[in-house]
Amino acid sequence: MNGEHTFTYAELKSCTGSMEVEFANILEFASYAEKNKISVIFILKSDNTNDFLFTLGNVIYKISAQSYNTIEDYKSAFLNKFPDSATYYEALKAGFASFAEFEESKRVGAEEKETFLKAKRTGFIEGYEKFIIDYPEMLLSPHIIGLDKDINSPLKLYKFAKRKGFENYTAFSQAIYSGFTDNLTYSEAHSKGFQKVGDYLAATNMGFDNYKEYMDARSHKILNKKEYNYYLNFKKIIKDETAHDEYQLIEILKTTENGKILSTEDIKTLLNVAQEKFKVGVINEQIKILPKWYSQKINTGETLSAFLQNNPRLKKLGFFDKENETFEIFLVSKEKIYIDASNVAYNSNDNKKHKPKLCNIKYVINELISRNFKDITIIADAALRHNAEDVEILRKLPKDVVYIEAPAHTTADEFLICCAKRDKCFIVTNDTFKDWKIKDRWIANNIDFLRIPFMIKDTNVILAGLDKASTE
Amino acid sequence: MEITIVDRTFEIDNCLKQGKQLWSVAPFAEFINWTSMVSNFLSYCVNGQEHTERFRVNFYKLLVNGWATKITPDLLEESYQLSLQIKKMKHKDKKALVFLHNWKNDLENLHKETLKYLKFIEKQFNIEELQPFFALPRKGTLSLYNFDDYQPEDYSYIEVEIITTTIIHNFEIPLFSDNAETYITTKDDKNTDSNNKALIFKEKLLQFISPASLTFSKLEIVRNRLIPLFKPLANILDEYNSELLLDKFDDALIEKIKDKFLNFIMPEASIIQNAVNDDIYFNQIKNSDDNAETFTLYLCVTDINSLLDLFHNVSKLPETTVEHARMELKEKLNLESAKLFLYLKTEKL
Repeated sequence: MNGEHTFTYAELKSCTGSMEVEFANILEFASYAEKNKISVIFILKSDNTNDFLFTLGNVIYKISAQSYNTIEDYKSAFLNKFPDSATYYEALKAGFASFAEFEESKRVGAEEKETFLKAKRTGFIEGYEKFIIDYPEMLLSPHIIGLDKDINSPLKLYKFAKRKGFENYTAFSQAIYSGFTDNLTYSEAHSKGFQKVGDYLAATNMGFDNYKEYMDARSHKILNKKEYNYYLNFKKIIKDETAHDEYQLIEILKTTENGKILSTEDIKTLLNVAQEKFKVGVINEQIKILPKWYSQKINTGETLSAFLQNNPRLKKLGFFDKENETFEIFLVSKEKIYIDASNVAYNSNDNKKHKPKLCNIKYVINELISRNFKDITIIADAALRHNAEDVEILRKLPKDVVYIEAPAHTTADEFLICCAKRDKCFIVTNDTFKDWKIKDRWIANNIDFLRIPFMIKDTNVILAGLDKASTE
Repeated sequence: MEITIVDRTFEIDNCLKQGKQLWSVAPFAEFINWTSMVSNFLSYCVNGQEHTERFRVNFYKLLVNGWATKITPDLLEESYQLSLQIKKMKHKDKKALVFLHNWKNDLENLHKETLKYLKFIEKQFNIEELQPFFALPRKGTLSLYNFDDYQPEDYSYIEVEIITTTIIHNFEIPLFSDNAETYITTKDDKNTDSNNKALIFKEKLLQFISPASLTFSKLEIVRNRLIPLFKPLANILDEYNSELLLDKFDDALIEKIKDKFLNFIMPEASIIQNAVNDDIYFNQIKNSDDNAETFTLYLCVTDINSLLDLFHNVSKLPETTVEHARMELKEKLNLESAKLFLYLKTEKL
């Protein structure tokens, strides 16, 4: 209605007027009534149908009510193209004024206007056409988990998506075509760089939290994040060509008690134990093997012996006895050191033509103290103090420095080597101990490592090779 | 299901246990009520409230108890009282001014220590991820103490209310830390007199990797999946709590409880256990974190009197508080009837 004219209704039991005019069109009936300022409309009820009517003069003007309650309803239904009153009232109850909208809502499965409009506004009614084509395939996909199996209308799609946290069809379609049925999971996966649900599920189950790491792990056939962490840790530490097993072996020997002698069999066992945590199960976890990314160079007894003998880092940790196939942990002291007194006093190249100078020893001591040596022992022949021209220097040595003369019937060299071997210390000397190398295999193999050659010019001392001691 | 955690313990170890308790039920519980010293502490600090000096001193007195520091609660109180006297003096000599200056510095240092402690607790709890949970309407509740008057031994009406409602409400279940197991075991071992023995029935309900490293969004996903699965079990527990109120808790009832657990509770629990075992986020933690702990939730039944004793002995609630709760409950329930409760046991993987 236009809002200016309203009717009042009065029900009639009968009407027997002389002249009747029956309208065919509700708009014309209402318009005629309005023009004639009719305010009361009578409703004449009969068994099958009701009539709306009014009188003007002696004429009865009427129209079949078609089961509409009011003229306003009838007019509204007519204008909004409703086919009948039942449909009109059904639509009205659901909140629809337009038959077209009501029809569409029925088609999409909406029972009320508000839901229908929301589904329409958020794009689900339009999007459903595309979705329904791919839906059967989605249901069969092993990766799409949690998709309702009875989505057969746009409204069901809308309700499903809404329940899963999606605000509109665009967001839903992006997620569902990536395999995600839940907005929270999709957002979480998306923020970590995952595009496909299969990748996300696999990665998360494996302990990964971002796509880049997951793909890197996959490319190395790594099974889970823990294993990937091991891999990364090695990658971070090993900067050269050292293989993983070599690195592990060095680490094992670094933590082995100083002085301990290990056979190659012991070493193999220790390495195997250390490798255990990196092993992965194959054939239903029945067999455990080292992963592919774990590089190995120590595969045989020969490669192990060669590694123990030649690796420069191991040389700082101890000595390999090729004959007995043993490795002795020999970590040279960074605080204690021996000085070959005669050799230093004569400054080695003097061939004992000149008198020994004990001040040379003093210069060496000063240099050693500056290098943080705290326990310095000088070992000399008994004759040295008698031959030296500056013997008073011995009285001026720092308190902590010990001056020892080799016992009777023992040469200073023998005593020196014996002490250095026992205490795992360097010896400051230019003597190459040639004679001793012939007599003793251990000396032949290892004395050069313990020897710290020197050069004295004026008061300046240069010591070579102190950095041989392990700094790790 | 609504889980209630009430805990007065304040030492660092126990604070961490409170955090674990909270995380242990976060994936399943529809609602969590958390009332502990730590929750108060966090809440106050997070809200950035301005506190009175009295409040701060009371609070620091509690804290220094748990810290390895020379400052004692008595010393703090003494200094505070002295500072009040000096502040009232009209003519302050140099000595008084120096004292006030030092007192101000002391408070500032304690404040810094408190913040450090807070950071530590936050980090250990991964509490930042749980904070939004407590901001969600009706999901979690932090109950606060009034620190202005608070003393460790004080009666707290908040705790009385929480204990009584938790015990009265069938849908609420109290959760204790693993101190409960120590308490139960010790009590059993010490008491040879069977009349004096705490009668407690316990059964392993669920075992899972600690979810404490989850982010809030992952926690939400896990909750969306697990809470509906937990619903049938929650309903059974709810009904069972009301059934338990009808009988006296004794050896005979324990037989019935065993039957109930075997035939009704454990089958439902195993459904949840399977879901947890299959959950991608629990697997993510298992496969990535070498240090993750295993959480085991034990479902127990005991009489209400013994349950109140647990609040006192395990959660360290003052005796006065527990006795008030006992008095209130006595008027409404039979204290010899039983109630379900949970406790958490944590182990290294």
